[in-house]
Amino acid sequence: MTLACTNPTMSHASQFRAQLCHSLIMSVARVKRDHGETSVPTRQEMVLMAHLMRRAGFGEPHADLIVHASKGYESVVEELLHPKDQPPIDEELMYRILPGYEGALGPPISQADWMFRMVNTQRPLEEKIALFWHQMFATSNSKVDNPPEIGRQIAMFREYGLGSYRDLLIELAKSPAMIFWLDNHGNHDGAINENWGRELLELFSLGVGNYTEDDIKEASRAFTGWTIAPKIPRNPLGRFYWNFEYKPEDHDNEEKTFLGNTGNLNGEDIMQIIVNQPASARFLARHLYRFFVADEPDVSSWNSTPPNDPEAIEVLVDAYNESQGDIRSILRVLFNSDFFKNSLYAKVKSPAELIVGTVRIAGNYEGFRPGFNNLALECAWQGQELLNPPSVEGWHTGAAWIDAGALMRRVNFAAGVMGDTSHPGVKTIINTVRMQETQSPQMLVSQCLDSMGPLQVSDITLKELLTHALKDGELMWDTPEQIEFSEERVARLLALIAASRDYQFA
Amino acid sequence: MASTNKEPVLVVLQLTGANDYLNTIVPYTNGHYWDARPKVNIPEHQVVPIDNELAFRSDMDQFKDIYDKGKMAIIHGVGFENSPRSHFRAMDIWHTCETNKIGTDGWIAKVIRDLDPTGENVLKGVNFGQGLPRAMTMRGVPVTSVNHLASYGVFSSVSGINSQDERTQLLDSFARMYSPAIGTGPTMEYLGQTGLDALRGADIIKVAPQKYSSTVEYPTTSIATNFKDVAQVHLADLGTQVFYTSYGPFDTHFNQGGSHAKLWIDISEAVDCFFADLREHNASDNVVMLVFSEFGRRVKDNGTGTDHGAAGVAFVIGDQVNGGMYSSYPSLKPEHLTQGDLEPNYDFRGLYSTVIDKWMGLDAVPIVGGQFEQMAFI
Amino acid sequence: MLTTVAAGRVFDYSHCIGMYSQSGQGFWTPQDFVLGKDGRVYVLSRGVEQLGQRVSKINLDSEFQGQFGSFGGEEGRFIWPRSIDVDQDGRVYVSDEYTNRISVFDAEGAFRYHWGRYGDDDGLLSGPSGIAFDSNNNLWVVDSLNHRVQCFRQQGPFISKFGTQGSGDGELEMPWGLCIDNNQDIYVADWGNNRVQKFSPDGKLLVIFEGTSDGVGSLKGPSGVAVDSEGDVYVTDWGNHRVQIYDASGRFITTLVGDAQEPSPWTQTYIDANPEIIKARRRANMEPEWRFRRPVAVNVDANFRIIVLESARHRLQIYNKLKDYEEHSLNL
Repeated sequence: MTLACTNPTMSHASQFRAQLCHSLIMSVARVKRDHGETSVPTRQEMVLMAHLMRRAGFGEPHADLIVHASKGYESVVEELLHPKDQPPIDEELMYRILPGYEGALGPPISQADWMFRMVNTQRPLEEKIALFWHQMFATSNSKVDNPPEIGRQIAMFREYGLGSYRDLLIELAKSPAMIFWLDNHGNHDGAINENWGRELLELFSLGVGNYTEDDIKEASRAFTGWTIAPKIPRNPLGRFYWNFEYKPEDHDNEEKTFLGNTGNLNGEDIMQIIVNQPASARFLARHLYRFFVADEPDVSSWNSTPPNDPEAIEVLVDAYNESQGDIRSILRVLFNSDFFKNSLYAKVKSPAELIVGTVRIAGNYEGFRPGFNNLALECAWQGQELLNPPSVEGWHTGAAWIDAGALMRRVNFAAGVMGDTSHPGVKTIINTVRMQETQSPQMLVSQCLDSMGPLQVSDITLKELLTHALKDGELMWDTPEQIEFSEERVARLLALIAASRDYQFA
Repeated sequence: MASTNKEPVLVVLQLTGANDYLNTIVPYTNGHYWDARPKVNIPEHQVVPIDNELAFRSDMDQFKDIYDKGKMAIIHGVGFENSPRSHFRAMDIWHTCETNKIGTDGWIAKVIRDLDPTGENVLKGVNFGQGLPRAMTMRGVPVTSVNHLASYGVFSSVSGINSQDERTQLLDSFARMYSPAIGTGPTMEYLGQTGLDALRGADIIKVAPQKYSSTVEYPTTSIATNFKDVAQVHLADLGTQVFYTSYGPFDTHFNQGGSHAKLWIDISEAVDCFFADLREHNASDNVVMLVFSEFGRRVKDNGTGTDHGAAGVAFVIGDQVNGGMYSSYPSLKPEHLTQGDLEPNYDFRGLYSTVIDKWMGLDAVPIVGGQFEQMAFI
Repeated sequence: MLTTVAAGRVFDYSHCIGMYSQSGQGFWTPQDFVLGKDGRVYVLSRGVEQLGQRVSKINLDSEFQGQFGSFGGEEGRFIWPRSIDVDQDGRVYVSDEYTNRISVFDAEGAFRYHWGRYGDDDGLLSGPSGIAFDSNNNLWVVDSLNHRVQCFRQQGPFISKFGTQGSGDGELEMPWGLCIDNNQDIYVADWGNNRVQKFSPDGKLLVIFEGTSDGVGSLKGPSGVAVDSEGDVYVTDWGNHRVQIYDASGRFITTLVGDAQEPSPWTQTYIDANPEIIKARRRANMEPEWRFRRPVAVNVDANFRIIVLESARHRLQIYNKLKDYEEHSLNL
């Protein structure tokens, strides 16, 4: 149910939201003015900026893209790579307005909390990199059964996700949700549980074929004693966070040999050895490529299937080696590379990308409002339940996001949102169309495609959009009836674009 | 009178949130029940006895009727060893039959795969509800999920489509946008094919409400609406052999009394209407319904509700079912409880195996992951 | 702590009430409460998204007496309910920050009428938060996103207003809760400025309650405020999870941090039914459970009972300000 539609005080409510949003987010316009606009970007620059913002973030409305594109591509990349230069989500305000989001008791609310941030962040790459690590270090509520605790792991990804890979792995090993998810609380001196040790090597760093069964055992021994302090049970007073605890008395202090290194190794030593392995550089490079550049086969096949673009992987591996595993440095190389700039529409949008990208353009979830849980549920119904990936391997991505049911949901969601003339972003597009000198069907199609991207679509889609637009001829804005009809036409065309095959690609 | 072809059909009803076994099939003469349930109990004047030990709660009188006609099997003590008290983990286990690791392939999806190995009929398995339960998910197995049958289809979300003409035009545009295009790459082609499949599936299923007429008047609850949708698709002869739907929430930690009663009133009415509807169309004899929940609830009440437990109760309903009680009610004696919970005494995979093997006519072993004790309810 | 002695006053922990529940006995992210007639306490739950919004009727002996209201934009329902008070006739008033309405119910919860709509003109509202009646039966409303306080008659006609946005003396930044003392002076939790300001009814600034330059008595996002008949002022210091107490002149006295070492009766019944929870509680350090988490509203009754509501613990903690207590010599 979309609450705002049934609420009799809708118009007041939306103004209220706008005010709250104003309090929450520093005026974008002010930031823009501060930077000064030097030149009007070319269409090609706009297309490239839209691409960058879809990949490094969740897309953004046309007006914001113009501001970004006029700053120049490389400086926007730097802005994205330094999220802390932008204002954060004001959590105190968020928890004042939405108190039930703090330590939420049911899964959709913690997912809604993340949805709110993805939609309203001014630090798009901070949220996107968190989603990347959530995919790679998939931790699932189906076992952890504590959504806010997984939410805290996501917050850790925001904090450490663009820094050193080694530091991130150490934080991951200390994440209570991860410890519980992969049973490290059951990994004891003299009685190891290999679950964490195995997945660390197989899925979180080296990849199959780059370690032995003995390495798994030795790594597991090194992580004995890394556990969770006794937990306060949740109900009936709400959630209590879990805490990492290192128990020296349960840590195996004997000599271990891991990947050829011998000594009384502890967890930190294991991580240092891991990040020095060429296999780690390659494995992470492939993950980053698959998430940010172009769809690739599933991780499970990497051992036997070479990358689609081996040269690109080499470039990223070099960046890893030069920076000693600094994620920010690797991403700088990635976003500035030709292979990235040439990868337009080479990825199928994940449900989160599709949903967040659409509502960011439509503007119907800007600021605080009820109903972010509905966005979270929609994401789950499209096949990506945040905080609850299907297994430790994460989601199957690319074409695997799509089946008939999922596609119908995606199309209905995006077309439903973009086809609604009450949404502020849709109104903006309508006004843009109306201000054009010519009111031809061709103009309508090109303005709508620009406003939703700029999107470049296939001939078959373009032809159909034109056919649809030509049916009713020129847009007319003279009488109230004409205005209503023209507004509907714009919205219908936006809905058709949102329903297209092309829109399924990031 | 319509009649369906006679392939076996399975309807699964999932009671989400953990149904309270003790207040569903009530051990009303057992002193331990009254000791453990000072607040959250079914008073003696509100039970409908089955025998001198067990009774339905009175809200379930339609269930009692079905049981008395010999068309309902009550399966006691269903669950599995080391039952986790987590809804999510337990439901995953029920859905994937993987008790020791995180499974990804659903048991219903495997049933559908074995019924239709080439995936020809996207309506072989249909879920009524939002999204898909993990039980129905497996790569390469197409299934359909319908929220509301009456409005199902592409563009059902777009507001302000005023005429059937306009809807048809939009759907035609969609079909043309998704039509095969040379040289656009495999993902584009796959998307095109999938989009057309979605249209085709919606077109096929759309005939169900058009063909349907019935004298049965279902209540307006969501479970009754879902069962009416199931009946319509079943009666339309679209080859659907597995239907899935859920109802809840059964997670009655607090103020259980009214909410638990309401859930069972809704279910009893809906199930009764559903079978009446099928019988009116001479289409009930090839349908079996399985009703389950992820686990039961704690024996001792917590003042206003009950907490997560272990063993639960399942029901199998249908004309071909050998009615009666199967397995046995787990002991309520405090010394027999595990962490305050009823100990499961019948593995749910045996329940599945019986249905898969004896009803659907498939080999259950690869689907549930082993040999489990089957029962004689079919 | 349990017993806090400071500046000639003694604050003695008594007991707690409450637990989380989506409906019925219990609360869900409660935002405010009010002491009605005959020991009746109304607790207002905000819930989350489309669930849990309601007013619970209880008493301080943990007796649950029913509830009214639910989620929705229709009459008598709530979306973002924030504050509750009763007028001299016992009618119950609830503010809703989303619908910009004040809804009025009779003492048992039957809906009567509502008033208020969005805007920034006199008498219009934007995010109405704290509400409180003065002794003339007029309702003072914190008009949060207009950064001001407005006064209304019971049925909604506008009387007066004060406050503008800013951080200077007497200015307000997204104010939240408020209370009124026996002199009809108004104390406003000035959330965005980390202080409480006391105004006369015509809007003249009288006292500022805030931390000293070295941080003593500081506040971070204060949510609610109460004043006792001796003039002591209690502030729920929401961002710091504590209650700060000041004297009438603004001098800081002491801090309460929460002392619910014994579970509430409702909670205890729940724990008793769950053997594994009993064991887990024995193993864990339970202190985080005793302490205040997001204290959001406070009231003092005529018997000097100080009652603090915690949004994130769905609970009321009750303290007594003792009048006849003498500190024993320290060789106990």
